[in-house]
Amino acid sequence: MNSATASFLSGLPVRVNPTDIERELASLWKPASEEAGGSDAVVRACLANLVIFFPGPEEREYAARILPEVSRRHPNRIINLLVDRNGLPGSRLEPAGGAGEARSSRLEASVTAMCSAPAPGIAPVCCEQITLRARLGEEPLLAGSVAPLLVPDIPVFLWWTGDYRNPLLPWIARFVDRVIVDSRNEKKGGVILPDIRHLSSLPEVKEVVDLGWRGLGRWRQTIAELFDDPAARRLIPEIGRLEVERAPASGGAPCSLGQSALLTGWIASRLGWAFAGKEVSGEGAGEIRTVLFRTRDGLPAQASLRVKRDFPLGRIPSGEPLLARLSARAPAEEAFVKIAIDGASPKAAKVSFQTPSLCRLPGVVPLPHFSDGELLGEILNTPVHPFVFREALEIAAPMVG
Amino acid sequence: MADSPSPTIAVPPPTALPAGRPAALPENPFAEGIRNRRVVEPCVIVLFGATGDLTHRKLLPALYNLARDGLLPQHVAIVGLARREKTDESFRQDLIEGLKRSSRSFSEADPLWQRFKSAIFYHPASFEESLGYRVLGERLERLDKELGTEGNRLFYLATGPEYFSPIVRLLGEAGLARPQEGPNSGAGPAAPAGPPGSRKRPWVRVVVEKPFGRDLPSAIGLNRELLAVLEESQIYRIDHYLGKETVQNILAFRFSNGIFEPLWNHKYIDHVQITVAEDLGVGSRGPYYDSSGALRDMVQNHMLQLLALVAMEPPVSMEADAVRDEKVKVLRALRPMTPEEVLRSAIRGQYAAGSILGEPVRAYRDEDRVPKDSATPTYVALRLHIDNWRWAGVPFYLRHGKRLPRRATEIAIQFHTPPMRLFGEASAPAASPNVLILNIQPDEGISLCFGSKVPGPDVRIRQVKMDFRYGHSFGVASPDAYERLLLDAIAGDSTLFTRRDEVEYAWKFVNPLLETWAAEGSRGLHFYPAGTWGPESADRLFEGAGGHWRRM
Repeated sequence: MNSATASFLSGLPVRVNPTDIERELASLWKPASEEAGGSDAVVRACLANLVIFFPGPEEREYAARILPEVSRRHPNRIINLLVDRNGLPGSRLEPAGGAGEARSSRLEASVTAMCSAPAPGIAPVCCEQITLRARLGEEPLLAGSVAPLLVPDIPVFLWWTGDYRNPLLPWIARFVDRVIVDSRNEKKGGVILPDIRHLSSLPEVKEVVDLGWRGLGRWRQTIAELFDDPAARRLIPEIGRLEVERAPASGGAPCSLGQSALLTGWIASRLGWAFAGKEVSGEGAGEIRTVLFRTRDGLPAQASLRVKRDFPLGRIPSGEPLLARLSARAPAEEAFVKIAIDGASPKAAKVSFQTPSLCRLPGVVPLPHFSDGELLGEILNTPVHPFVFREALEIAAPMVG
Repeated sequence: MADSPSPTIAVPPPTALPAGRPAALPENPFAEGIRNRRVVEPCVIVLFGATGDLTHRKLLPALYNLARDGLLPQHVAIVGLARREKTDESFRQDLIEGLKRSSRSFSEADPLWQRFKSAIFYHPASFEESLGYRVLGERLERLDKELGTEGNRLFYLATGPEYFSPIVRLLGEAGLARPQEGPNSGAGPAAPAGPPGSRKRPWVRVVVEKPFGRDLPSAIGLNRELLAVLEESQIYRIDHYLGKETVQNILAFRFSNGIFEPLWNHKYIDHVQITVAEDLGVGSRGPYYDSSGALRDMVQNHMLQLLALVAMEPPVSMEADAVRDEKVKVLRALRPMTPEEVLRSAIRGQYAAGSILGEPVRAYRDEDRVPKDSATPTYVALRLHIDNWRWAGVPFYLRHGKRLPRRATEIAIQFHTPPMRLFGEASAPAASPNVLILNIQPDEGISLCFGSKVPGPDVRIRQVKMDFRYGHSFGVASPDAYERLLLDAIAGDSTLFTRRDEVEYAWKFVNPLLETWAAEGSRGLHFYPAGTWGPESADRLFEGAGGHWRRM
């Protein structure tokens, strides 16, 4: 095995000619394939194309942390699209066929392999990662580079870690099956759900999937299971109030509202409620967002979203839901269904259900926290029900906008 | 709750709960779009044989893994029942070793274990004394009240087969085999979801481990005894092979792909080989195995199930009875074997001393507590036919053995060779046929062998193999078969459990083999050295048809 292939398989980036990436990849893989059956043998696997756009180094570092987990669960051809704000530091990379070979291009390309061992004694499973860098202002060049690099006949995902109003996004989205977004990402101070709603309305975008929404999977499942109980279902027409609490951020900083709003939007949409207005009181961690709805019967309903300020910091990622309580409207307010996490055991939720005539014993259900890598792997592996997400988003977006 | 009050918003005055609401119950609006959703109701799981190996090695770890994944009901209790005197606490303590060994991620310090163990109880009782069942009934009622398990019961018979019938009879006598009457419950056996407006009545289900009978008359007798107390819909006869992901994938592969099913018949398929090879011997199971043998232990249940899944017609739906109806049709269509046919189409063998992986291995007759003159087969090879339209003229070859060179289970579909050798001598030897291989274990996956031109100026065709491996494509460990099957039993899904007629038709096919071999004794028993692929005489099953056992 030559040194370029060895570097490539060890995870070091190997600089390649941006106009001839496939051929260069083939030459890097070939020595590895010749090892078939030997101790250095690896398996080259690819179940999907995962295109990732990074507007800056911070997002790139974040992705680099979680991609090994994603590749282990779901080996893909990963195509990284980077915008380099400080020029192209090509000297950091090792050329595949000698420095003189790379033809001049306004983009810079490198490739590397990501390998993981499924089990002791089994050949590592590897997939390839192609990285394209463009100078700031030359991002449109990235768009035209994606389509030729896609492996045919398998799904194409685009994970967009930048601004959802970026004009490059719909351009690339026309080649992909699903655009992956993250409703939890509000670190820049904006509220992101209206942008996601805008994105999902674009004709170039076939389907939007959200990491934050996927992270609510166990919450949604737990609530659905609670309402399998006929006594709880009987309560449905009476539900008129919803409370949702979320985990605080350190230092009293504002924390993402995305997941709480989506959870509220999902419950409201499942109950057939329509958004009717909102009111915000308080600031920062003390903010209380009260949202008004009309039920199918024209009755009023309301939801309140707030931060649970006394929840111990760090036990649950900031912004994740801690409580959802669905209560009947007066005079039967004592009838409720509740799912709550307490700080002592953050991987489980206590569920309780009570009506004037019935009190079910509280139960405990596991509510494990999934890493971003696990969530992304799940998105790549499983079908989605876009209409349920879209309906939740339709209600959640104006709640935060 | 945060301490700040919600702001008051002017909304129209609230309406009161209407009195005397109609019984119509809304559908669960939250269920839409929830993936892998199954309704698991609160229940008590009673494990008969709680101090046994199966409970410790498989059942409790499976239940723990289900709890960890949030798949068990919120209100659940597990009651271990066995003769030995133990307390709840000592039973919980005893389970820890098995959990450490067999659970995917067990830690005593995990709060999940602390919660999980608080719902585990032990009930010392004899399987054959009615008093223990009455006391059990009282205890289960208390648990219903304390833990909200709502009268639902899953009895798991992880005992020796001699206890299946007495346990079920005594459950019946103690009133535990039928759901209890209650204000919201109906009489009779467990039923699927009740009509809107009514609460579902409690259910009682009984999981019966293998072996289910030791021949056709005993299986019919056992069915009769169980059905004197239970409805068929309450009985879950377990075959853990059906809980394996790769076995379930046989149906997914066949019926979710458009290209294979049109080829899945006598027009395109030459023959099918099903192999279940084990490298282990009988270990400490000598006396049990010697009374059972390879045919009962593996062929009658697991291998005929694999055969049924490979050969069945597409079911009208994936509901339990729709799938099982089609499997039964295959078993019914198995051509019965006369004694003469048994001698022609069935080979039995027993391992002699040999070696595996460089280690000397003793002969079966030298295993602990095995008679020195035992005629029990540790190897079986069969050629059988399915007399129906699809499979007319297609032989199915089944082989199973212990102390073979390696552990492997696979189904190989061998297609006809092309009608002529267009490439003449350039074709691979014997014009290598296409073979589709479904690897069940341990290297789970699917492979397709086909001919390809060797690069070069001349025309040479070589067999190449296209491989799919679960481990390469899905980096997530498959759950243990018992996890799937326990969850199905709790959820009331009997698709992966064998129905009465399935069991009886399987025994009906196997019975002439048992009888003929019993009459023959050691005559016709072929010995094979441990570490080889069985007796050479097994090759003669291919005489006249061409082909050979696959080299694995």
